[in-house]
Order: sequence, then C-alpha cells, then structure tokens
Amino acid sequence: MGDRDAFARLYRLTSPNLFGLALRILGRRSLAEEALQDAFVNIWRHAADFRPERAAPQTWLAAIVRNRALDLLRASPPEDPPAEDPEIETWASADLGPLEKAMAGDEAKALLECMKRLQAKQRQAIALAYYHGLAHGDLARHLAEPIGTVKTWIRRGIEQLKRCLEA
Amino acid sequence: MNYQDQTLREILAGEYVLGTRRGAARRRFERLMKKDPGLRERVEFWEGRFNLLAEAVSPVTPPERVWTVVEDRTAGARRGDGGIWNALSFWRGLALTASGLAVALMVYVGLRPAPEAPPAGVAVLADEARQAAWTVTLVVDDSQAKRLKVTALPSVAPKPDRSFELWLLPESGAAPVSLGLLPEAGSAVLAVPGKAVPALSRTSALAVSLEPRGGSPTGAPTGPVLYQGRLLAL
Repeated sequence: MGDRDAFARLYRLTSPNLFGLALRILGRRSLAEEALQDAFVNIWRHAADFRPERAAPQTWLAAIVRNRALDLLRASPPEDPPAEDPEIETWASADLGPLEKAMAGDEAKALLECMKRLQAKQRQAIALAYYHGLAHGDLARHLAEPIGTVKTWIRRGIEQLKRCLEA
Repeated sequence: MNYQDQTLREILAGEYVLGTRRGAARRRFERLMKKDPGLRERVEFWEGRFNLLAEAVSPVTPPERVWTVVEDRTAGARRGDGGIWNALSFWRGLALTASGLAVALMVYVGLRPAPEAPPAGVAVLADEARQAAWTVTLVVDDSQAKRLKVTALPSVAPKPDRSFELWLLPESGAAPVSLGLLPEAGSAVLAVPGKAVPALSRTSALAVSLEPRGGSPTGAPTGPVLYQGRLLAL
C-alpha cells in the first residue's frame, strides 16, 4: 500500500467522525470544512510525528482536528452562543447509557465509567469545554454561574477523573 | 503558582487540553511545557483521554470538495526536499495502523447487530513487502475465553501440501505458541488453546510460518516465517 493510498484510506475511514467533531466545535459548516482540510494537510505533513507507542491513532487524529477547530473558533468567534445541543444534555443528565454504544473501545469505556462518577455539573462543564471549545469565561456565561464556581467544577472534575483513570 | 505541585500540574495539563484557559495564561503554560518534559507527558496523557470523547460524536460525511482540496494541497508537499519524509518508517507505521483501523471499522460494522462480544484487538498479517494476507480479530467473551476470527485476503496463495500456521510470540520472549491453522480462503474462527490464553494480549505479536500440511509436527515452527503482524488494541 503506497503512502497516497494509505492516506486516502485513512481519510475515508476517519473523516466522517472527525468532521462531526469539527462541526460540533465550530457550529458552522464552512469553518468545519476548513478545519478538516487544514487538519488533514497537517496529518500528511506531520505523519512522522505520530508515535504509536505514545498515542492511539484515533486520539492523535482527533487532537489535530480539534486543535485546528479551536484555532478557527478563536479567530472567528460565533455571534450567537452555541445552540441547544442534545448530546450535551445527555452528558449533563444522570443517564449516560446512550453514550455507551459509541464509546465501546476499552479506553473510551473506561473514560465513560469515570465520567459517570463525576457530578452532573462537572460533567456538563467538561463536555461543553471539549465539544464547544468554551473557555472558563464562556462557560460561566453559558451556564449563568460565577466563574469561580465553573473553574472549581472543571478542576475537581479533572482531579477525580485522574484518580479514577489511574485506579 | 507552584508549578512543582503534582495536583496543580495535573489540573493545568487537563485544562490545557480542554482549552479552558486563553490568552496569556495559555501561552505561559506552553512556554513552561517546552522546558518541562514531565508536564508535556501529562498533556499527552490528557490528550489521549479527553480525545476519546470524539468517539461519541455523531459522524457526518464531509462534502467531496474537502478531499479534493486536501489532495491538491498535499500534492505539492510531497515534492518537498525530504525533511520529514526521511522518517519514512513512521509514515509506514501510520499506513499499517490505517489498515488496522480499516479492519477495526469493518469488524465494528459487521458485529454491531450480532450479540457477540466486541472485538478487543485487530491485526493485519503482512509479508515483508507489507502485502496484507490475513486480518485477525481478537474477541474475549464474558467468560474470558479468547477467540480469533481470521479472514484470508485475496492475496493468499495456497501452497500444495503445505499449511499456514499462526503463532503467538509471547512478550516474555518464550517459545512461540501455536494458535492454529489459517484458512487459505474465507474466514475461520480459532479458539485460543488454554495454554496460549494467558500470554495472548490485545497487543500481542503474531507470526505465520509455512508448515507441512496439517501443521507443525513438533509443536514449534519448522518452516520459514512468511507473515507477521501485531494486534492493535481497540
């Protein structure tokens, strides 16, 4: 399999999920297309940086796409706050069952189990930061809570996740 | 801030990956990370964890024009003066992983409606020229029994009076353990023999040797090793 073929195949396989991610973060199709394009150009150029012993291919790819999407989000912030997102509602609810099918790999499952143990507010804040690129200030506005409260949710959430993931 | 405090380092690394700090605070952390490999390592940990959340996103197929532009933009990059392309082995690693991903997705799609346990690992067995010959999927059921679903690709050329035998190469360096004979066409399910179960992990190395028909008469590989691969954990 030549490099070009491998690259085309990788694109076919992974682009729907990664485009879904970029759309989620950016909320605008044209920007999400731009993020996906830039990300795959980076993947092609930086393929040599991929270290199979340090990262799984899926998370490596997702990180590249998300980082590019976050750059574009900061360069052109949306005029409106993120629309109601049913998937964030799920993260904020007590029942994470609907997420189990999509997060079926061992590592994803372990993360989901640990997310289940967080308070719903902590989970919601982490999901909003990850999927919508909201910073502390945006989170406070979006959730109508004091910024100190939101920072504490994130901080405690990370601490608890770390203990749970490494248990 | 005391950047040596372990809890604080963990939180800052996690927040950096989530992207909840902007501007000066973010840039300060990036400078810090450049000279602190331990911090960089914690960032990699959180990148590997939080980016698993991407799996929960509903997929949306991008319009074809995205790929057209990607192809155009990367066509030029390829004619560059070497540089990154000197590390071709890494690129090959990615290519191989891509075939692993392909199998992973095929297996996911294929297994979804069945009540079977999800695959725990996948491998592509390829020859020295990286021509893939078999795909292997490891399934571990509730009782911890392990099975391998093996599928021959069209490139497998049967050899008269010979069989292809699959071996587990234990991480410990112990002698190869037979996992059974591979089909020359189509698929087969191999129940992993009891003595191979403890050594077979989701990332085990596998090899295929050419043996007399019916398999090695000695219990150890007797013929040349023609194909190899390593399971990729799912």
